[in-house]
Amino acid sequence: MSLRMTSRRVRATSPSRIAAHFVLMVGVLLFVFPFYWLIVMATSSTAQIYSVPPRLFLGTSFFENFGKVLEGSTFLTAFANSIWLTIVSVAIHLFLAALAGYVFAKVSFPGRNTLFAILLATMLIPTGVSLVPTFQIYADLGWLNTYLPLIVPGAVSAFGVFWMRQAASSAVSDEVIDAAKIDGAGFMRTFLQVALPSMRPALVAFGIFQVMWTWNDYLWPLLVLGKPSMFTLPIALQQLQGNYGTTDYSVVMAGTLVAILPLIILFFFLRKTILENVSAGALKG
Amino acid sequence: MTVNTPLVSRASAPMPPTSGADTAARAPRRRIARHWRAYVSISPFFILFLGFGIIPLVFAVYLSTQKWDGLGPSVFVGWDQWARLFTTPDVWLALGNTFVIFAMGQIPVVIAALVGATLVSLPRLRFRSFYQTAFFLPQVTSLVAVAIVFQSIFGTRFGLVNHVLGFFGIEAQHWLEDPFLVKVVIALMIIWRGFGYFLVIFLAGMASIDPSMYEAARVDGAGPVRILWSITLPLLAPTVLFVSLTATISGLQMFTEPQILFGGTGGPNNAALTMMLLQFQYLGGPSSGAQTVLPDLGFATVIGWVIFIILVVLSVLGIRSMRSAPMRRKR
Repeated sequence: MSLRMTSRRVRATSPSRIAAHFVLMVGVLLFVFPFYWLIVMATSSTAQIYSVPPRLFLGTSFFENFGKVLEGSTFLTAFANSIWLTIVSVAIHLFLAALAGYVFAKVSFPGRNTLFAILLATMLIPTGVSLVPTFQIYADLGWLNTYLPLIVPGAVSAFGVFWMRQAASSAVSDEVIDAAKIDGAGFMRTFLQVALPSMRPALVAFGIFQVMWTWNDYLWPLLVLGKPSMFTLPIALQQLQGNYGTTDYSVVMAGTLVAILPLIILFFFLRKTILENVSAGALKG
Repeated sequence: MTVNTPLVSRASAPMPPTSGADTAARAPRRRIARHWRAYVSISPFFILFLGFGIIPLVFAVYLSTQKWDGLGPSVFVGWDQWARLFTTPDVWLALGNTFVIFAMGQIPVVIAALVGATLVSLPRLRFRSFYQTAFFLPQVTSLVAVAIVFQSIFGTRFGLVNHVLGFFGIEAQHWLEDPFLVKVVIALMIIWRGFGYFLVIFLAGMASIDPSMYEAARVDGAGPVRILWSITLPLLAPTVLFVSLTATISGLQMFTEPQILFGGTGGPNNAALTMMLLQFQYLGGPSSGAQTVLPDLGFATVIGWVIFIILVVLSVLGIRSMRSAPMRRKR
């Protein structure tokens, strides 16, 4: 009886799993195709792009196209801007969020629970959807055409503090903190040398998401960065598309490919951490 | 220090002279002062939230009573800007577009991701992490890049999609010129970029379902569809609802896709005009489509308020749905 059931199940699931693989493979092809097409266009000459029927194979003109990207705009500067802006703002965010999260998890002080409840409640208020007042405040502070609006207001988020508090309460042990205190370590030293190292996995996970959000940020950089020398990559791409979009798509595609490459490389290196933490990251509205 | 001593001893006089109670009885201000490091550590968030969260909201109340082109003097107009909402057809068009595009993209992507996650989570399936990786990849690309690639794929004369359609004998479609097809293209962008993200979230939700429940259902003779319908879905429903609502909240702020596709204008017949894009146009933001409207910061502020109010309502709904979700506590 049990033998018959098992054999029937094996027979029943195998075709269904083949069907699943078939459906998923078709899905993967559809989803990966735009990337392939981006590479095809970035490596084709302009004439090849407009050939009929379209060429589906990689061309050899990538460096020629990318050369035009470099001469026609401030693409390299934008690339450098995006890199340092992402590093600086993510580093500040991680430090402040980890510090606050550690304090909320491990230091007892009057009003701790109330303040944390307030912090959580602020996540439900959709601030920043009204562009005008925020823009005017940046203008009044003299922050237009500086990177300050892209670094300071988002220097620490309620979401980050929330995540780091979870990390600190599970990863940092009270005994180790007490031991550090007995050894004479002060508040800051305990945080930096005892708490922070144990929070590393959470810092990496949250850091990757923060890098992705900062790197791809578009609306505010578009509003506050007026000078081409200050542009970040998404703005430089938008400009590139405005300049070449109607005439020379292969140039736009070469720039686009280079712009998305760093995050894709990062994703392949940290794939496991990212996929495991997506559901934690989903909390961010 | 010595000056303070009598005060302290007087304050603690009525208390029992044990050392712990003695500390607790000192003036609360001193207790707070003793923890100044903790308060300083958590203060950046509260200061920033006040400065860039609350103050702009207060300022937005004032700005919504003004008429101001951003250059000349600002004029008080009372409720006029709010009344203007009802006499400006573009506002209703943008509101409708935002919801229609969202429904066309978001509802299919959630359903598709649910089906996809069911397939990927089949027991003993090979290449599981390959599938997750491949489907998640679009999520790490910037919206600007996605919009640029889709714009070329859906081009009328040289776009790949029309070539493929031509191969099957279907005539070329004006994907980026037709008011309805424009929404289809944006919806496809939402689906392409969001599918893997939802898939991975649903997989995490499914992994937290006790496998013995599946086993029991199988022993009772339930097929895969029945299992999905009677076990996975009910247990996953709170996750689905919560994720959909948070996605709606960010989706209602959709801006980049139409802005890139149509250079800041609302597209053909304003068919891709979203609320954030309309607000951006009235703000007179850079390259906001050859100035389709006269900048009016007061009216832009009121449009911002409309988005704000809709989002608050949706957030409240989101919390309600989360309260009834026993699974959400997991992380």
